[in-house]
Amino acid sequence: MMVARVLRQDWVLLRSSPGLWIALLLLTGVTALAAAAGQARLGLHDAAVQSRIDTAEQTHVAVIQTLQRWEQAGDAAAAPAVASPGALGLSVLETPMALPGVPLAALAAASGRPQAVSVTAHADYRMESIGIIENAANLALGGFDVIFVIVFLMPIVIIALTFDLLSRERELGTLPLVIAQGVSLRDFVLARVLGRGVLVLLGMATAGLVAILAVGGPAALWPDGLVWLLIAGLYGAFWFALALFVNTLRLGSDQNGVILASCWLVLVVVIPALVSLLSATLYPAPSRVLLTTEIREAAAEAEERAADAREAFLFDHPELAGGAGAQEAYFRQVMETERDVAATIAPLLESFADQAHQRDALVNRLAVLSPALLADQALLSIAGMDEARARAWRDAVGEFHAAWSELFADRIRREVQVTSAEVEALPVFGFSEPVGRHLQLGPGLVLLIMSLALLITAVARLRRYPIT
Amino acid sequence: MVLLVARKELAIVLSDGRIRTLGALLAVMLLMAIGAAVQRFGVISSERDMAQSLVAEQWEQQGEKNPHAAAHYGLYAFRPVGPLTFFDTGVSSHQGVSVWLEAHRRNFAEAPPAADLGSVARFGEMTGAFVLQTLLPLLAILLCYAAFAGERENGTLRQVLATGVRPLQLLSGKALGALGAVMVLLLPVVFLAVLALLFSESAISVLPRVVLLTLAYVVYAGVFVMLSLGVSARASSTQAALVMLVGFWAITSFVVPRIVADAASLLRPLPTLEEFRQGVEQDLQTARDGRSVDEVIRERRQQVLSLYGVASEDELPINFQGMVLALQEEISDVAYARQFSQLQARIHAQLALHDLATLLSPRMAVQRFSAELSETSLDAQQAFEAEAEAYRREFIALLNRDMTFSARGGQVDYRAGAELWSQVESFAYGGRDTSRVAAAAAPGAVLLLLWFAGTALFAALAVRRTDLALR
Repeated sequence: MMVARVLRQDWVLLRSSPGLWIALLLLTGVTALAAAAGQARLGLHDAAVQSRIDTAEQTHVAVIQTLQRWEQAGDAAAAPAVASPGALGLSVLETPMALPGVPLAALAAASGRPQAVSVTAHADYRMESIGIIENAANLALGGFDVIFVIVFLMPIVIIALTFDLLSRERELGTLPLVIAQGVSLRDFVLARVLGRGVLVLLGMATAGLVAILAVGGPAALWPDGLVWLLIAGLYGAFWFALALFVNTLRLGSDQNGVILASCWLVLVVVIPALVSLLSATLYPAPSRVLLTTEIREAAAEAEERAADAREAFLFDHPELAGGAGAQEAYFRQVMETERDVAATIAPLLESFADQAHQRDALVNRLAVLSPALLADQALLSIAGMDEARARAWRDAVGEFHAAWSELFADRIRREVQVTSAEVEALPVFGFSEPVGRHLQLGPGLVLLIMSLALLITAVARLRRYPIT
Repeated sequence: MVLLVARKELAIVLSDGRIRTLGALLAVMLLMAIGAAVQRFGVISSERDMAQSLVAEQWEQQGEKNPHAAAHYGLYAFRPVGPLTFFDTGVSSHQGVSVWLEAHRRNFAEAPPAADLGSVARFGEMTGAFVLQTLLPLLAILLCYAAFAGERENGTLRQVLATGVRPLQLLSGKALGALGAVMVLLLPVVFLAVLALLFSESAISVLPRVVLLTLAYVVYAGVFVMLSLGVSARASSTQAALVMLVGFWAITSFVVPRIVADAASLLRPLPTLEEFRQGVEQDLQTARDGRSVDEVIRERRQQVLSLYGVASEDELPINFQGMVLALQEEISDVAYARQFSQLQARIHAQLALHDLATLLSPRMAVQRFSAELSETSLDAQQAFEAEAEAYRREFIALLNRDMTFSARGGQVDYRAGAELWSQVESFAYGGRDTSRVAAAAAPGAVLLLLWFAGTALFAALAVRRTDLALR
């Protein structure tokens, strides 16, 4: 009853505060802008990949038609260039593919790294990345998406609305008057927090809901959308609880402001950057420079072994030597050289993957040090932009590449021409989504525990809070 | 009078626990970042030097082969790192560190370090520049937000003004005191950084840049000192001043740069890799006055045959295939130069938006200046890639000349050996000359000074109000 009265009274005060409405409008407007920017960013990437896919499909169809015409003509001597498994696999056919988007991907478009490659019969270390060319200056500044708004900006608005929740009343001398009305300090404070919390979280939830519907449609609401809103809500609740706790420290409003701003700095900026530094220091990626020289060394050795075959004609210019046999020998040598190189550098590539996995695991463990990191990792997973999903996709691409390249390798080795039926029956890439994208129980629970711990401590401290 | 006020302010702020805590945090983080930078500089610098020598060694020991096979084997150019690279990684984490230099094509730089950093790296790399760019403003705000508003609330501002001190003198004194405090906190770290640099011979040459960087960050702190003093003079309360300043800091340091990055990439998008490749293909097809490469080669063949008065390539005293390769190289050089310059133009169109946004974010101004002096800017990368490309053209031309003049006409089994390979000098990046660095860094410096002048003017106008002590 008393809480309702305080809420009503507080609402009257809040309603006439332009700062609140400006902050709320800014937050919701920025959320909408971030969702639109994320959608546009993903659109650019998808269009780039789709254009490559379209070109590859047209090539695929043209190859089948060429082979069919040749097969129908029945002239074995007039084989088209694409009947050569080497020419077809190493120079003509490709399968471009991208990590499929999930409904809420646009909300994390700037946080995750788009994954798109083109698979050919060349060895995996020669797999080409596709997509848009990025300006390093933009990447260095970081991206703007809904995750950023939630993790970075929402706490600032919450701090601005709550840093003087209690201290200001004490400074103005109005706190004893309020208590004299028969309202307990606990009810008074909780009602004020509740009022502001409902306003901010409702505003964010509405903006989030609109963003979710806009980028993913109604299908995105369950379960992705709901879990997303829940994690964002719990993260917001943490900041409200922290602000309440700081207000019970019996300091002045400006001191509360400084402490909360410092908390924001430490939890949102410093700890994540330190975790990044620590994970990169403890599990550094092997040197790409070393990888480059190793590939080169391995290629040189493999080429030396195949020197006799190569020196019969100019490297990479089989047409200068003439003769289909020489050309097939050339393709075989390219393939074998690449396989030798791939086998040599496989342990190094594996250590790249291992270190990345270890770094990722460490970041997940250390995320409990910062609610910002915790919320960020959870939201990133819901949006399907996390490292674990990208790793699962890369593994699937690796398996697909192995199957695809082996088909060509077998024919290149045996110098058997390719038929239209075989091209039609080439494998198609498929990716089965890892389960548990929305099972963000761990981060959700930790955020809840942190918020409750702060809230309970704050309420306990209120009992000893001086009214005057 | 100004110095008196400054001394008093300095004494007050240095006795403030919050300032000491934040100052200590800043110093510890700076030391950690600089320590990590020194260690990474040592490791990565020697690694790249070693890789460059290894590539040169592999090149020399590649055995006998056709020069064009060697041209396809190619060379690598590794971008050397400077002593300040890890103080401010600038955009270098997102740029490739090596370029494969081979026949017929200009490749993009490969292996940007950010690709191996994981998703958490987007929160920011803990470098010295990151710490200074994000924490210095907060320190300045804490030093000054209550400078006028606090004294006004306590009633001491009226007393101070009654002593005859003019508002501008008061402002200057408070600004000097705050900047003095910043220097007290910053200089020991700068001194340690310089000490660390002195251990490396190559690093001594960057000492003038360290001085300029220190000045730039002091000016950057000065921007926030003046802004905070101005806001403090005009705000209705210390709380209002604090909220405004922290909001300004968070928005201009963290939000504006990200919005700008997204706006630039969406409003002025770069081509896709596919479009870039197609552009090159198109240019290669219509290389010379709309004629195809094959037509150009046919015409050149006729010219050469008639010049030597022979009927076939086999009768030529030179190897025509070598000439064809040189011709193909000329054509592809033009095609790649055109596509790369178009790409650069589009990147610069995006950077123009960044420059515009620098007027909204002092952090972006200091970022630009700092990255230029640390050799981690886009311009520094472009200079490296341009030098690598010039080197590529030179050594490919040398190989093609050898094939043309050393092989017989029509000979396809010609081989060259160590003598030719040794004529290709190892790639050694000379770096940008001082005038280029100065030209690239000047806009950042000017924008930063504009910010300082603007905020100083704002503060001066704010304290000249007649109701300074009364609001």
